[in-house]
Amino acid sequence: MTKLDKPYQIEIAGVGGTGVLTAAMLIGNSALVQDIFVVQSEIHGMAQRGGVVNTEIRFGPVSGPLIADGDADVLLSFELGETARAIRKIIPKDGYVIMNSHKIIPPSLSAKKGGKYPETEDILAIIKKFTNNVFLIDAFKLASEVGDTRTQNVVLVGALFAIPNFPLTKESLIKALNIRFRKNEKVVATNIEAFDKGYNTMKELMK
Amino acid sequence: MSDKKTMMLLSGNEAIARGVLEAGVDVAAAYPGTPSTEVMETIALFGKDTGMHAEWSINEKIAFEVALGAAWSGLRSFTVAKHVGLNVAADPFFTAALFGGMKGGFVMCIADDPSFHSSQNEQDTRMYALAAHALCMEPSTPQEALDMVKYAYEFSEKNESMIILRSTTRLSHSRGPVEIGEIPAKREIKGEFVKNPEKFVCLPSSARKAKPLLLQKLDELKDYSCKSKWNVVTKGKDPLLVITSGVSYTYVIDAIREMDIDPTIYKIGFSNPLPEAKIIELLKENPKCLIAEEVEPYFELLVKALAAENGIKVKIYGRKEGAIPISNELNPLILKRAFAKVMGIKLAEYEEDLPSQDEINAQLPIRPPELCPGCPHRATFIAIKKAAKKRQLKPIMPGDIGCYTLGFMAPLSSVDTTVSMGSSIGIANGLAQSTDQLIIPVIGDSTFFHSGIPALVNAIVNNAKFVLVIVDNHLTAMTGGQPTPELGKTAFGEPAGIVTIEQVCEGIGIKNLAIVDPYDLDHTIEVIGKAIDSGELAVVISRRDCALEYARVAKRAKEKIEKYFVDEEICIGCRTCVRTFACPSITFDYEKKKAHVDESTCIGCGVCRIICPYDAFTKR
Repeated sequence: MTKLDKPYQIEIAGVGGTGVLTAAMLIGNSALVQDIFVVQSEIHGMAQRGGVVNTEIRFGPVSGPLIADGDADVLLSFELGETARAIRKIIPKDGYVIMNSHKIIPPSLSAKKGGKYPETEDILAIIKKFTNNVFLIDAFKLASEVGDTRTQNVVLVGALFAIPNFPLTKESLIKALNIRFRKNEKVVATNIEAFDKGYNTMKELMK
Repeated sequence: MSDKKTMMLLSGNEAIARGVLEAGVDVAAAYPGTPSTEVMETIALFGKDTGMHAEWSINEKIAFEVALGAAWSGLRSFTVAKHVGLNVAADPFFTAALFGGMKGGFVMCIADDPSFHSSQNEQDTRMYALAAHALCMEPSTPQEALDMVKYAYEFSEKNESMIILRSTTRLSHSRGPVEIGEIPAKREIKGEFVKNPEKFVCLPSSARKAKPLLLQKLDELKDYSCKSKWNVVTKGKDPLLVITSGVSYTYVIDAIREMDIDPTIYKIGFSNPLPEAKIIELLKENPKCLIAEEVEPYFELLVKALAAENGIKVKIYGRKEGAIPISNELNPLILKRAFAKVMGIKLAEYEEDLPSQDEINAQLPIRPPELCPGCPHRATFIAIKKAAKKRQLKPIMPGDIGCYTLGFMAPLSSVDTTVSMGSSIGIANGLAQSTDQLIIPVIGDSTFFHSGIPALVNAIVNNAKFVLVIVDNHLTAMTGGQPTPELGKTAFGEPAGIVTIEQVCEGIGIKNLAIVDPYDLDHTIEVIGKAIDSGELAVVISRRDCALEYARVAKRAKEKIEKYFVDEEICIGCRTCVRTFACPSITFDYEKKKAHVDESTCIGCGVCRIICPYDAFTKR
């Protein structure tokens, strides 16, 4: 088993139906491929119907499935506003935030008179109180370029793998994609393309 | 390859299912319920190849009895439910625990839901174990869940007793690496029921004999529990004993690693019977004891009693005492705070000059779970409201358990009570006998079969008058689409007998019965109106496939869904659609003052077209 000398923890935030659970499975299986100990939590049920979905992934010398506030090395967020809701998980100052600039507007907002989704700047302002390592990625656009907007999650996973000293490799992720998509070559290829889009975009942003 | 272990990343539920398959279980039965559902789903996915019988039963009581019948026929049997499902099965459970006689191993997995993630309460199944004198085990990780299931079958058979395997949400829905074993080859399932009235006819005379025998057995098993490999002491240097079980154990380990402390830990896998002698021994060695458990102070009460009975001077901390909050699930931070309090350590708290969760949430739109785009339930609720409004009536609407519970959210605001499976009709009976108000209970198809039918019979024979609306989407939708009796499919997807709701209603003598399609909104309003006007007991079946399933099937068949869009020339910005209908596909642009349809999520139900007073919604 590959030894990590300290825990590496990833919080994933999103909304039901955005591929949070699939992304978590891909990351978890990549760790398994590399023989790195991993635990992860997920919440199903009522939360799936358009509600907030969070998943926590922990590698290395860890035991339980939950991440305490202030402990996550990375916050990977699939929806703009949900990034702010989960931001307290991040390690203050040093933690990385990779966030989708795509917004999913809750219907309850439209039902409220004058209900308006917050400006991107206002959400960024909350997040930047916690850390300056913030990377905004238009995963919707990048996934569209690949030809399948459902690959937004894998675009963001690609960005995650570009973080300096990230413990997992692209090779293990490709193995995880093959497990997930039962070796359907076309789907795997599309997802690798999406992964590369996210990976390269993140590398550019970090320059 | 031969010595290479096969590892898989499994959820607790998948690991439990894997354990059931590897243990060679012959009969498994369940009714779905979060967080337990995936156990049976996984068994249904892989069980067919083993020759076993697996079924989605009509409710948890029947599932329990199916498993009991199999165990009494000498077969290995399994049932699984969420915590409140055990309330439904409690009647046979108490008696089965008392009489035993399981020649085939019998394991009942119950998944509790601390923190109410998907439930109406957070009851602790260990309390049931105590009350029924039933054996109870608690795994901490997916790996342990698999191993414990296999062990439990041997132990159950040895003692001819049923065993409760208690999970919680954070075990059921967490993933970890699991080393898997072999699943036995396909076999023929053949049990034999050997008559034994003393054991299986549970009468007062035999119960009087069974009770002392059961208590004696549990007493003997206390010693066994002390030696069990599932109850593990890890000695530490700090003068503190931690007693813990289940997923709470993993938080204890995380907390002590981070705080660099070294208490003695007693991890208990056998919750009932407790390893009393070992606990007493450890209490004597330590001046302080912290109990970390979910969710009731079960160990805490029992350990305090043991300390008192044995005159041990030890200060016991826990959820009742207050070092740990009395309700909701635990997490590493709660444990760290508890250790800091008990050991008098100053904890480096998280930087509190940063915005609090409440401060952050105040700046964000709320995002509650909601009915899906095109959900037929939404149309049914709108129809009921419109039919009542036409008559200037404000109906009382007892609701039930399912996706349609979400009808309680504004703007639908169409659920006035929710208690338990089938209660909509039961409570409607009570309301009908108590008030002159119009009563319209709403229940789903699966819930109606689960426990709604007796309440409807009750209404007939007691002259209760109300309009029952059964929202029939042909699935148990909230838990992920398990079959209902109307589908005619077994858990393995094989053809099966069919029972329809209208057959049941006609059979019990409902005269005033109608079937509507909620997408045909005007007709639905008219039919519900007629039912209201009748003043009699009436049933309206509002039938339309689950929108999620419809979208899934259409996608698979590559069928083109005709979507709607807003003709901005016609839309006057009245907001009727978002104010009253609240389909997640429709948003309102306050700058343009126009409604907008998100065509990526629209499934083309067309109800918005009927809702809009100006006909602004048009097909592409």
